[in-house]
Amino acid sequence: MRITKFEYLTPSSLEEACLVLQQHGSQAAVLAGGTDLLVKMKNPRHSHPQYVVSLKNIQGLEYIRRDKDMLRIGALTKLDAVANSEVIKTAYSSLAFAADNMATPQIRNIGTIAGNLCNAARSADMAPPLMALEALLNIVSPQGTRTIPVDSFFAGQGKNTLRSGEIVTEVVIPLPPARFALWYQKFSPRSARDIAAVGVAVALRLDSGGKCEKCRIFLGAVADTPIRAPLSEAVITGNKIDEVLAAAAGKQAVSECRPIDDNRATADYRRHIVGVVTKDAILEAYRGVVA
Amino acid sequence: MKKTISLDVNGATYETAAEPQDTLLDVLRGNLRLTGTKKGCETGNCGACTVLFDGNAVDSCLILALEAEGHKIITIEGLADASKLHPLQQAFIKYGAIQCGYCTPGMLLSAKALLDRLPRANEEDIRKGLEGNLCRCTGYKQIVEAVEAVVRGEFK
Repeated sequence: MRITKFEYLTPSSLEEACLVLQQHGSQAAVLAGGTDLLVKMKNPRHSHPQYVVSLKNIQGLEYIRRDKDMLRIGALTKLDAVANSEVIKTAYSSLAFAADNMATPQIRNIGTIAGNLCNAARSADMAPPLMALEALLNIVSPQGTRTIPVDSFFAGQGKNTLRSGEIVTEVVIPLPPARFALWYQKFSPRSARDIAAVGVAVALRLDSGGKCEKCRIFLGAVADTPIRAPLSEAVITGNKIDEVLAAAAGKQAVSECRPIDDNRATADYRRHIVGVVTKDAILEAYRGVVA
Repeated sequence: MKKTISLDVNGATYETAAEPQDTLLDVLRGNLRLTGTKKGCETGNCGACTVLFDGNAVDSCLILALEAEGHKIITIEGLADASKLHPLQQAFIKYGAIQCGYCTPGMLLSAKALLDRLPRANEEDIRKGLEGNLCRCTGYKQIVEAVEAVVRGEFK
């Protein structure tokens, strides 16, 4: 299994990296952890980059810190660090859980949080919870910086909305307001840590009377990209959450997903599981607030 | 084009020439002749190529050799010291945690990374820590028992 030849570039600053990426456009690929990129580069059915732009000499992109009411995670932060960060576990244990249940220890020790998003797999485990949390991505390019919500970053299976010369530098997550909880639940028929066949993230905020004030539901692995389930959210919003309501919201989510058949599950099975997992995730998020 | 790189493997410094597309696994086995590290799926699923990278278990098939410069690498050849086997190696032998042996180097290094982090690892921790290593002989029970024996301090 050989990797096709390429030119290996190691810019020493973000500015230089962006310029190199802009210069080579679609012929260049960014190398962060490489756990997805190298697998693609070994696959003869994939198109291969002529230039690989390594970020290894760029300092200061690996950190997790609280900054006022935000949680800031550097783009090159390893999935293992996300899984084990006390700051993240305190704010959103479910986000740490999502990272801790991806792939294998070996992959989590190399793979990065931004890499998981940029690779843009429909099953990317970091995506649904970050989208439900209204997380933002900070992006740099030779033209300057911009910030976009994670939920507008995916453009299709394996495609993101980065423009030529752009690099994601940071994931920014608002810290939880009062009466708020996130739950991410993933289902795979082989084992919990296999690639998700279905992943559901639910972020809930209750009002002082215990009714759902706001709710964001995102479904992973059941469409070209992770998708929002607005009809399912509408079932919950403004209401007191119980089994029956959660089941109704799960049913709505089934109507909102557009799954495919693959070697992990058939589309029909995925639809069924979306209903079950969405219901469970809503109830778990609810328990997370009231407990 | 080949580049000369300097790799820190098992405490020694190796100068070797590598192509950009060579993986760390290719260079360990082909250039340095450290063939204890095994080539399995080459896609990060099986863990046969596991090495320690700054103390953490990684798949050497998914790291470019050129990216490994400046990091401390330990392969299975670096696990024992000159006079005796590592406690994990002793335990694998005693508990029959080896059948065909192909997964063993990776299993041992993943187990070492786990115990360095969690010296009191329980069975669940061990199973999770070894999740990235597949044993085609399916001898997982003995492997877990061997690691548990090291946690208990049976081997020094």
